[in-house]
Amino acid sequence: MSKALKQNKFKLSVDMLPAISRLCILIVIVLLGVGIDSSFLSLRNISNIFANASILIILGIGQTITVITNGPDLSSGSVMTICAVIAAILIKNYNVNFVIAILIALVVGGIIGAINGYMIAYVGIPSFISTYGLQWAIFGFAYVLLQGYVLYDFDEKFRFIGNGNLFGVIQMPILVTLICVLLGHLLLKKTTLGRKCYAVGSNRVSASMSGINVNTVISMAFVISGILSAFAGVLFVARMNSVQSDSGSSYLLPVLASVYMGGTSVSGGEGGVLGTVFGAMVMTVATNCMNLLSVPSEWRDAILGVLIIITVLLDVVVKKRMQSIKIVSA
Amino acid sequence: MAKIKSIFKQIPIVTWFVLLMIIVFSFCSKQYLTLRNMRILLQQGSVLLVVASAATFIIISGGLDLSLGGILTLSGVFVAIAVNAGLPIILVILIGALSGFLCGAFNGVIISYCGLQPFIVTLGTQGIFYGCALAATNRVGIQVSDEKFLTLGGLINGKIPMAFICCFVLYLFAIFVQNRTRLGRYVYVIGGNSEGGRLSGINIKFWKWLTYSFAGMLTGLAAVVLVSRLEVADPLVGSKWEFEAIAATIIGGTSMNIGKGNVIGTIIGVALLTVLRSGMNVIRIPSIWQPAIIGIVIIMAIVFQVSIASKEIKK
Repeated sequence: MSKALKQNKFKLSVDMLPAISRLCILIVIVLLGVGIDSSFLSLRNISNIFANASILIILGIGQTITVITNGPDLSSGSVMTICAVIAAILIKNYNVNFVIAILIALVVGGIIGAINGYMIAYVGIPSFISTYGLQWAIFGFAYVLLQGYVLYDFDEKFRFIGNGNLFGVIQMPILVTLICVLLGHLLLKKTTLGRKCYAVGSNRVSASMSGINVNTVISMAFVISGILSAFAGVLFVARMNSVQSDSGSSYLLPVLASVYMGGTSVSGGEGGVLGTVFGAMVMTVATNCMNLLSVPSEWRDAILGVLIIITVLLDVVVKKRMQSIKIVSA
Repeated sequence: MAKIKSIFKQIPIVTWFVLLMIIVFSFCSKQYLTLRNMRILLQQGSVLLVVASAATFIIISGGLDLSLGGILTLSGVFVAIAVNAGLPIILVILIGALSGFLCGAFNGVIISYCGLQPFIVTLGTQGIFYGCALAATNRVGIQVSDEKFLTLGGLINGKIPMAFICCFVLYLFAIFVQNRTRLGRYVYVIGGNSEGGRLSGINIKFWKWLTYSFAGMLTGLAAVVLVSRLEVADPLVGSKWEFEAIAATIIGGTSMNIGKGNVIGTIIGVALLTVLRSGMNVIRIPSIWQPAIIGIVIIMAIVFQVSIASKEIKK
């Protein structure tokens, strides 16, 4: 009796391992931040960190959905860029109402997502090749649209969603991000489409045998990712007040890092939006620390690369351990 | 007659597309089909040929290497530093090969022995290699001016395209490795049926590691030629190279998940990209449009090639 209880307790702790190890990473980084700057844990700094993480989190939600269903959407940075450019040009050069401009940008994002979905689900090109390839074409088009210029200085009303304060307390990007996170979480956990995403990701053959239209689910995942990337692009323009033809290229590595750090499995079918939010927070706090330490920008990508590999490595090692423990205890 | 027909059937469809493009471009400009322009074409396509051969090995083995551009850049930086230090050419070439080999070996260890997915590992190492190259050069290209070294990638007497000759030798070497060595054979086993290979006593992990290391070495050697041709080691030169190499491989008929394809086919993919790039200037497409158009054409070519291949499998 007591032996069984002990075993149960042990199992519980093994299942908690990934979450605990991630929490440790966050605590270490936060302690580091406090060590560097004593005002690190002030309410203002924390609220700023949340606001800075907003774009990363929104990109990450879409990325999480595609990773769970099929594989990464490496084009999300470029979709974000071209939708930001389109919204910016419509507002700035054609004086379109900003609501309509945002809607058009979201539609474009959805269309690009549909192209990705078609190539992956119906043609059968692996997602990391088709989306990686499409991003170069999309960056090319963003360059064509802007002709190499930088657009800046937008209407105050439009900038409110990225820069404003609601009742002078809550920063708008935080509110917008919270809504996106809630919707993404509900979509994955509470709707049939979300459950189908998990089913397709964990075992495509059995999903298709149990009557799920696998191709449609994969396409839908990429369409959703495209729309969210487009929204991140709009938020980027509103927040930064300027847009360039390569604005989104620096988001690719951080987004993937936050998704994998959040416990979404590389092989699909596992994970969730809340983990990604956590990962994005770690990434943003880490960037904040790097800024405070004035790490040269040349090393940023290298550090991110190391971080991604270590996270995924930890995940694989922990899983192998858990499997061997389970086999022994069974 | 039937024999001729069967030979024609073996030639990939993309080949006809390349020929068609050359014909169209030569109608558009009288200067296109001249000896001088062909030499320039060969020089431009040469480095991509070697990098794409490296990518072909990896893709046949069922893997992927998004860090080839990073390896090309980082090895190029090392090569330039070595040349400027006054080392003899043989040693410079060795340094290029060795740095490429080490980068590839790093990828290989993590992918093969730790069992991580190739795309995520190489995406991470891509960041690492670019970061190291940027930090080593302080974001400014390293100029190279050693006369002897520059002959490796220049035009001798304005006539002999040395970059192409060097790269073609490397390409022949890749074909040799693929057809006549154990590595070449085992790459197909890893991609086609690694479990069967393991049961028949092949050390799959080691050969997988060697595949990535070998691809890294080829890329490092390509970096020597690239630096010599451009006369500068630019820390930003490598972006998009890995994708063009992968694209050329897939357009050349190598399949990603059934251990099928070869280095010989890859040259057609390289030819397609090189002819397209040069032709866009000939038919006067503004340079601002060129990246977008190249991207679209590459994507369409991949879609076309993959859908043909999957139809063949169904048959």
